[in-house]
Amino acid sequence: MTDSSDGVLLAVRGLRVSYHRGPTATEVVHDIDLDVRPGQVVALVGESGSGKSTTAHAVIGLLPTGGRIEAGSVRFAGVDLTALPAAGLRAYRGQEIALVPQDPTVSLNPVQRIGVQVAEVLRVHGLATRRSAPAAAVAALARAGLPDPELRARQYPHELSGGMRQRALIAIAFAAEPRLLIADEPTSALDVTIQRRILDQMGKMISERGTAVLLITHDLAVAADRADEIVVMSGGHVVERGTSRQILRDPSHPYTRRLISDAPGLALADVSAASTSPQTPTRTQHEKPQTTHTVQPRTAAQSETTIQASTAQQPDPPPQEPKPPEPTALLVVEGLVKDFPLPRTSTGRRSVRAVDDVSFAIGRGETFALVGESGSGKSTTARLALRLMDPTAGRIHLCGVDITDLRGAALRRLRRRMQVVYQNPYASLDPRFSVAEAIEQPLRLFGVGSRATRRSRVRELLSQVALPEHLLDRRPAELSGGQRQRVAIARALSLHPDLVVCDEPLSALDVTVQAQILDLLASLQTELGLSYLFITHDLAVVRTIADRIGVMRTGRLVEVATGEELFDNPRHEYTRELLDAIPGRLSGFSAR
Amino acid sequence: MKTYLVRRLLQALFVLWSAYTVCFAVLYLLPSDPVSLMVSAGAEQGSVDDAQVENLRAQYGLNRPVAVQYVDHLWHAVRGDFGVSVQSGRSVTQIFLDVLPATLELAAAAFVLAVLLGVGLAYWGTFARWSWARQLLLSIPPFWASLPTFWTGLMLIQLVSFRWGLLPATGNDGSRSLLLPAVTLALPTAAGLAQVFARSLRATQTEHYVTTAAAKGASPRRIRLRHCARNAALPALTLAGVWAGNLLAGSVVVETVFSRSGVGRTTATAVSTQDIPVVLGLVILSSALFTVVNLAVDLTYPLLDPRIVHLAAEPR
Repeated sequence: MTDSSDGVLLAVRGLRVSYHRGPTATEVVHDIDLDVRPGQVVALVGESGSGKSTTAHAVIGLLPTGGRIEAGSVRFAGVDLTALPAAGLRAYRGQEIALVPQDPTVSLNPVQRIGVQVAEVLRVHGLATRRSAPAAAVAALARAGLPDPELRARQYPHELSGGMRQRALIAIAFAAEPRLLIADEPTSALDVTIQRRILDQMGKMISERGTAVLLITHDLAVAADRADEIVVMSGGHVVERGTSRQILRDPSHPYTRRLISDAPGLALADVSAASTSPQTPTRTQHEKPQTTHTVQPRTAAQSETTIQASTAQQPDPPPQEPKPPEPTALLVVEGLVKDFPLPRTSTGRRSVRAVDDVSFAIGRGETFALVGESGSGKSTTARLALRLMDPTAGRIHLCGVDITDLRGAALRRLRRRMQVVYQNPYASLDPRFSVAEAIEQPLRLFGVGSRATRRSRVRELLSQVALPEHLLDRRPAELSGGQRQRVAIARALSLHPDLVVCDEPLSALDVTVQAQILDLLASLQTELGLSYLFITHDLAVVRTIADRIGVMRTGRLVEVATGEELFDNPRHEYTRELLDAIPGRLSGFSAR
Repeated sequence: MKTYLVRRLLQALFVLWSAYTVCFAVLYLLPSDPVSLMVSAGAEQGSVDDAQVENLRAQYGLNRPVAVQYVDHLWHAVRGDFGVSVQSGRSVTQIFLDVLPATLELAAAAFVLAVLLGVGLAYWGTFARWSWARQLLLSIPPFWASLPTFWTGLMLIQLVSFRWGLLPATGNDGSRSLLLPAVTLALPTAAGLAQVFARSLRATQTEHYVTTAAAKGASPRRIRLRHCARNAALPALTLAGVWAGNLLAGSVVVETVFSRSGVGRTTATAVSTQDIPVVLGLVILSSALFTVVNLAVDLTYPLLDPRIVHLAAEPR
């Protein structure tokens, strides 16, 4: 291959990167070649640990401490960047090659105004004077599609939403009109709807300016939508490369095939094209009611059921609910309202309504999904249902018993029956607890069994979540994200709950791991007759697992339907918007 | 903001009241009383009979029940009257105002030195080019922190004043006599500041906004000053109030070792003679000073960290 002669903007040849820690060095990128032409969008796809981010950071010399380029060249417009001194490389950063970082919530300096941070890139490269910089920054923010750019420029990062912060970072990246943009998972920390708007904005700016892009993503569906060419990385090697169409229609490497089958958006595109692909897990609705009826109601707490059961059966379904709550319903919430007080102003007390008249029912063995973007009230609804928070109005029934006003010991007993799996497996496990201790803790707290029986229960749980027994004594830091989430699931199951609330359990995980955890949740449900309340911003994820899906927006439940109904015939406009935002839909590759 | 200020002022009043009460209790638990100390001090000039002692007690109001004395002192203190010294008969407020400038001078000099030493050590200890230099610089603060103030003071007097004769060992005249006590007082504070600041400087280096700044093409110097140092200063500033208290407390030892007049030495003397009005007055006035410094720090904090006001306003 020749470079710089055939109009290649970025040519990476034989790149090897390793991390040095003390005397040991670990090579994480092995002999990578990569070309990006002017105006071209090249996606580097792989799961975490595949070396894709390291490759991207090596291009602009921003490897973390200990990272070192061992061999190879990075030629940008004919200049080998690896051979440049630090000061020479700085002239390229920001001006010729810009970076859109991964997580907008932590990538802006919290104590500097947005405008100053946008202006900095212009000031550093002498593209604006002290006087002209503020106006230039406002203009850059406006080009990035940020509403009220003058106001935003004067604000601090914490005053902006995640999506607005990412737009500010895009404004920084485009401010100096670079020729190459490196976008490192630019939207994986954002809701799907915001993700789509941000990617659209980037796409628009790229095509207007003819900027070349190196897009780093773990989501093949995003790559399929946005890239001309896809390079698939695994274990520090390039395993496959080609045009997006080639890769998606005719993947040659098994790893690529797995990525395609695991990407929920692509699987959906497949389903909607009525393909007979055997990879797509298809779960019929008919299996569910059978489990529903075979599971015996619990004997505990039945003494009070008789009085309350009549309330639960009252034929007064809320308007959104397509069918009345079944008599066998495990959890019924009616007219839930939650107001949060806002700081007092001159006009008196104010409050914000986070949950507004929400009603739904979850049957035994059923999976009910609440879908909406952040701020829609879905997590608050879950916390109310779990009685972790007191509702402003409305009632909550579990097995026909009104649990809205339970206090003290009764509330504590209730905790055994409803458990949670949280979003971030890195934060929800105590780092000082071993795996065994983490899983055993709920059993100890409720004084279940002897030490020996608890130990054997922990082993049983570990095998249920398909983790090897030798992990028992490991600490969370030694586990992968997927393994940690399995531990969190085992912990949630330890007390034999009826209902497991899964609060965005997949959003911190790679697509492949996501698919594995979804499979695990599904098999546990059939095995144990569990009910799930599944909270997510991503409709594609719940398509396969949820029996019914509720769409939430600004605190209200706008639509409830079965997965099939919702995807084939969305009734609410907002549901359609959510459906359109699913990555992989733009490419429609199976129809191509 | 207004409710915040009111809350802080109420807190400050509570701090003053508790300092006063604890101090009062401790003084009355001591197994002696000021009149007998005064009498035994003047015993050489002639004997004093029990009737005269009783008279003196009555004159200072010491024969009343403890509760009455407590309330009485408190009531006077609230009105700004801290009484008169049992030993010298001078007004406590006057005594405080006489010695305050010397102590403020000492504390201010020590504060400036501590900030320069602490910030410098932390900055160069984190960013020096050579790893041996970083290690050397960062090993200094723990060493300083472990030195007792009186020992440092005595060693400085021994070496700098007596052996080399460079600076005066004692006294209150001008900057030459200020330097040694200021250095002695500054070292523990500088050590603490350096440790906290170095730690947060190191933490900021791996922050994602530092990567963003580097990706803009900003120079290492710019990144360190505008992004790392500014964010790392916040935890150090939080402790500034504690350090102000350290400086006040340290002045007791330092002023005694260097025989400087000042609030610290006056307090030490008053405690040893059980001059209750003086001790109580000085404790209240010093706590007032400490509270004002802390309030000032808390009010400047939002200027450096824009998130603070916002967080305080968020519903919990």
